[in-house]
Amino acid sequence: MLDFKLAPSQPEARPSEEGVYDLIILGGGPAGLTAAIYAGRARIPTLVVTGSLPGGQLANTDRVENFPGFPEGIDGSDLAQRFVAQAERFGAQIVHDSVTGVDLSVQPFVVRTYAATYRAHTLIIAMGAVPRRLGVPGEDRFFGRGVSACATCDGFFYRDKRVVVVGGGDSAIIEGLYLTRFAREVVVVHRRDQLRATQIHQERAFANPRMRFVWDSVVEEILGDKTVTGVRVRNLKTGETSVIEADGVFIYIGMEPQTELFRGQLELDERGYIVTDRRQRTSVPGVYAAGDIQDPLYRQLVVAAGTGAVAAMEVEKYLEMYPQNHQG
Amino acid sequence: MPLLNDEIRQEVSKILAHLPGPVRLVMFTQELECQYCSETRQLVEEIAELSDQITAEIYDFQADRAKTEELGIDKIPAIAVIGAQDYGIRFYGIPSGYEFTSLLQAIVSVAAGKPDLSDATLRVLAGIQKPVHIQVFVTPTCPYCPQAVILAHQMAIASPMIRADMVEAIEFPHLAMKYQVMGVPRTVINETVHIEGAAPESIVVAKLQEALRA
Amino acid sequence: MIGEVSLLGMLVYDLIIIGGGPAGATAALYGARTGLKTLVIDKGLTAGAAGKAGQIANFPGLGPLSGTDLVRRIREQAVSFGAEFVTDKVLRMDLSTDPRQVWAGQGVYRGRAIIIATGSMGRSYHLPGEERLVGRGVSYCATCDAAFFRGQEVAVLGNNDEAVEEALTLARFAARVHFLSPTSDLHASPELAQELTAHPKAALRFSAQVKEILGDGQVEGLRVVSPEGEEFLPVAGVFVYLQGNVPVTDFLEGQLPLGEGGCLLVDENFQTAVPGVFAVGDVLCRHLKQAVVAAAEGAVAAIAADRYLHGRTQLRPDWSR
Repeated sequence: MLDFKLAPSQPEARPSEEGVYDLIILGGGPAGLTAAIYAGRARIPTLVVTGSLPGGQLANTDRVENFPGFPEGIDGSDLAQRFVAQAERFGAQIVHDSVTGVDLSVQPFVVRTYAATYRAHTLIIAMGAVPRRLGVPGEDRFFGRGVSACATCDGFFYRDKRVVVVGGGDSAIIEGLYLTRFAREVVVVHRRDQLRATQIHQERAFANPRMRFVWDSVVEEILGDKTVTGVRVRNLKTGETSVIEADGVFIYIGMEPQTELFRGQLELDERGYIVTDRRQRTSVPGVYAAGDIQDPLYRQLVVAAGTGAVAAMEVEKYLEMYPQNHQG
Repeated sequence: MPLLNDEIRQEVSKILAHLPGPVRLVMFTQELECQYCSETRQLVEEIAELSDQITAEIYDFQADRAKTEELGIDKIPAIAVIGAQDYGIRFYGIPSGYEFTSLLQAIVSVAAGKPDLSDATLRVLAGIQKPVHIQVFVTPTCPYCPQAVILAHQMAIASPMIRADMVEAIEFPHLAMKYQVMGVPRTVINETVHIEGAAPESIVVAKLQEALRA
Repeated sequence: MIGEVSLLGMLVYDLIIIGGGPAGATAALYGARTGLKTLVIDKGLTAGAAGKAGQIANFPGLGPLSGTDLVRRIREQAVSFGAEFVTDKVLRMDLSTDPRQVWAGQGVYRGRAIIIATGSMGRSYHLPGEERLVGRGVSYCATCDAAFFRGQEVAVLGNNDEAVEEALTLARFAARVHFLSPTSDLHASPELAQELTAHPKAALRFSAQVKEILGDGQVEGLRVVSPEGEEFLPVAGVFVYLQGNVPVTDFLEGQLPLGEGGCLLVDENFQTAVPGVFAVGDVLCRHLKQAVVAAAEGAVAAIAADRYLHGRTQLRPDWSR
């Protein structure tokens, strides 16, 4: 079945480096784009720096069933496209670039990207989270060539092969099930003896004949020569190690907030998440955070969108309160 | 059965509405049609219908040898997107799924004849004296891939020494194996330098310079 | 479709959600999808704030659509995962028992976790004579009090689904039901509107404002102003379903602490002072009344309720070192 997707549109011109934006949104996932929709509607001059993939984690998601308003479900990429189009309709300027650094000690704030440097009176940080790595030998060497964190991207290359999925939460199980469309066997390696995934996904996983489970185990090394040949695992209860032969390894052990750039400039919690109050305010006035980068607990699409909306509305109030900081 | 539904046709018509110049979609197929040859041909014809500025030219890979060699086509299905000049932009395999966007972007960019790259990049590319061949391996369901393809194509527009191909990995498994493609996008520059993932412009430029030093 | 609830009083739900607007319906979607037996008790599609919203253009992912359409879609989604919806009105709750008990017009529902998502379209007494005559002819609940007006003439003030349903209930007992809508048309579903308009005992008046409720020890009539002029309408009872802008918390009867302005207090997981009882959406007196924010809170509360029900006393992140 061939389908043809119209991906989120590319901007026609690069935004000017001169002038100061009232608001720059760092991150183009659901939180950032919802904030852009709300800011645009409030006529706040807004720039969105989307990062490597407009739509964020959403664009990587095969099918979305639980975003309210879509009783038939919707493809992640389609929903991402709608968010982008809506933000643009309300006037947000969207640039496809990644943030390389910020300076929050000055006003206006400074935002550096690969291509340019911008300044803004307020920021909404919505850069989300990235997949956590195992941190074991072989992982870096084979990343992109046998080790992956994106089943929808790379699943195809493992047709009729055996793959290992590391993890036990919803992502590991959902993506593992996705991989059973291609792989002849999907071996789930989990450090505990029961899954953390929600009921509905567990049931589907256990019922799938191509899925097998290795419990109480962690991956110690990813093995291979020119290509991945397997993983060495250790059973945490018995201490025994063994090798599982596999052609690919998919890592779904959780997400890490992308907060390295803000260390020392914003208050972060002990896991690296940006600390916010219920109004999405960070430790620096005029800087807000929304979405997964400040949410270790819920990490749902609608929750990210909701926090993006709140952050944008708070920006609106802040700009009204401090007119001397900007020209409106 | 049309490949593009009404909604997509409408959107595409809007995107192609004000092309500043003519674009030729030169497509190579063969009588005993290959895996996606007939669909690629149909796609090219359907797109050409949506704009007066776009023409579809269909050639036989074997029978039209002269044309095949002139445009440097070595596998099919192939689409060369040519404007006022041939910038070296090629699509090998059907640009379906997310790569449809890459095809539309190539048409728009070729019609304008101007690359969308930073000044720093343009300066580096202006100084290139040796030929550069960029191959970007993709699959239709890879959301990161169009960025890599579009960037490579922009570089092809910027420099007459650079030619850039989208190569759809599923249709060319032997090439995927040759270049050890197990994750996409994977960019191969002059056979020697590899980039995993969709790297930002400055990094691709650096890799390009590395390939030229080799 | 909206399901029927059978075996009333026998079934114990994992999760009962009071209010089916964006917050409640999204909570139901999440609760049902995660495997909780979920019930939503809701007064009607047009009874809340979403029902009044003409065009919502900024709900991410959806083009401009009416509030009712948005809520209808979310409900449909929740039902597709197994959530049940019942049209009813919650009169009181008992949060001290396990499972908790929720009294509504049609009976008692039992649930282990509760999410309150009743919004802020409530009103306080503001018609002259209203407060004085509550319980003496002024009522807010037809299922409770209709029987007291058998064979008499009553008035219903309102224009939405809830008002129409209540009027139809009253029509089974009263001799005549004077339906006074403050607006020039009904804001109820076409089927309900049709049923009311066609009812032989119902007399509808539009753009009617009640200026005063009159009577000595009990209601004797209403002073009504309408395009036809001012008049005295003699009735034995008046049932008020007008909308205001205060949190709907009357049914709690003091079981949960209210802060200033009558607002429910919750922690960062939207749990009230009573474990397993959550509150989300406009009922929380936030001044940011947006459907996507309400929906987000509904999702959070449903996830928190699920964790409460499965024994975790503290929310942990999805992984731990």
